Amino acid sequence: MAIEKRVLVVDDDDAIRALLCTILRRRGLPVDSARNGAEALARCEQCRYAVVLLDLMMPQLNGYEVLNAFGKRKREDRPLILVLTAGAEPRNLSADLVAGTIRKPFDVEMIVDTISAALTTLANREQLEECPPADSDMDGCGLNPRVN
Amino acid sequence: MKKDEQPRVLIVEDNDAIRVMLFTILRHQPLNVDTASTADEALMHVLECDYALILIDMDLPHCAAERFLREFNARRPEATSFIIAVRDPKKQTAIDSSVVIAVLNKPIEIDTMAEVVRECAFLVPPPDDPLPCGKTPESEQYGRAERNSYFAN
Repeated sequence: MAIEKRVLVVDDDDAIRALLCTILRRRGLPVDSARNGAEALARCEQCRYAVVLLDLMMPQLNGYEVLNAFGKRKREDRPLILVLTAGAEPRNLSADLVAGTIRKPFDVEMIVDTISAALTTLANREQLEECPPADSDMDGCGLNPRVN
Repeated sequence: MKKDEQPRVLIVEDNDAIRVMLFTILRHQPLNVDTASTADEALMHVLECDYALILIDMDLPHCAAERFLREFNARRPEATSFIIAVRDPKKQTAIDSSVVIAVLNKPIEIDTMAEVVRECAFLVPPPDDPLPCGKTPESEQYGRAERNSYFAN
């Protein structure tokens, strides 16, 4: 089983997913993406993620609902979550679940540095056996999220 | 502005991931940055060097942040550092407004934090009689904070 620190980008905006996936891949990080909360949770059933970048306003389970689902997991089974916000201040985000928030439009360098820095502090963990190769290893990184 | 004239900032945070994230973001600002993961470590820093600004997690275990602030005031009464407290709003940790100039709620909005720290740090005048701090800021020692955190795991 692979030892890795994989990142999940969850956003319904194709351009943002593609951008983040491409940039993080260039930094040598394995990245998956999901277009909505339902896909994100399905991904998390298959794979272990070190960091999740989570948009709040999405169709088919929004970011708040995804956070609720993560809140039911044991602390050690939760990824480090960074929330992407737009417009108004997000309501009632739990500091136990969310490590930080980043406003859109975001500074690309800042977001990549933030994720890279967080990853250095997280312990390596074995990836789940059923986890497929990362989207970042395929063509069209971030554009064609694949949920088996 | 020369690097050694830039304001010096201390981050006090026990969560490795958050501390290193904050350090990484602030390192890219025109600031000299040090970090501490405990109140004792923070106290050692402030007894050696003058900080324009201290960003402290008020939710350190065992009320360590309050203890740090008390000790800091007692042992460095002349210090002019701005203190910014970070706290979980649900925990309603008491904040002494005579000591703390601003409170940031968790989860931290990272870009706001960077802006607030940068702006505030430049408002603090340099001390009249600065401590002879001989330490190179961590932000000048590439990778130190990351390495320490990594080996701590």
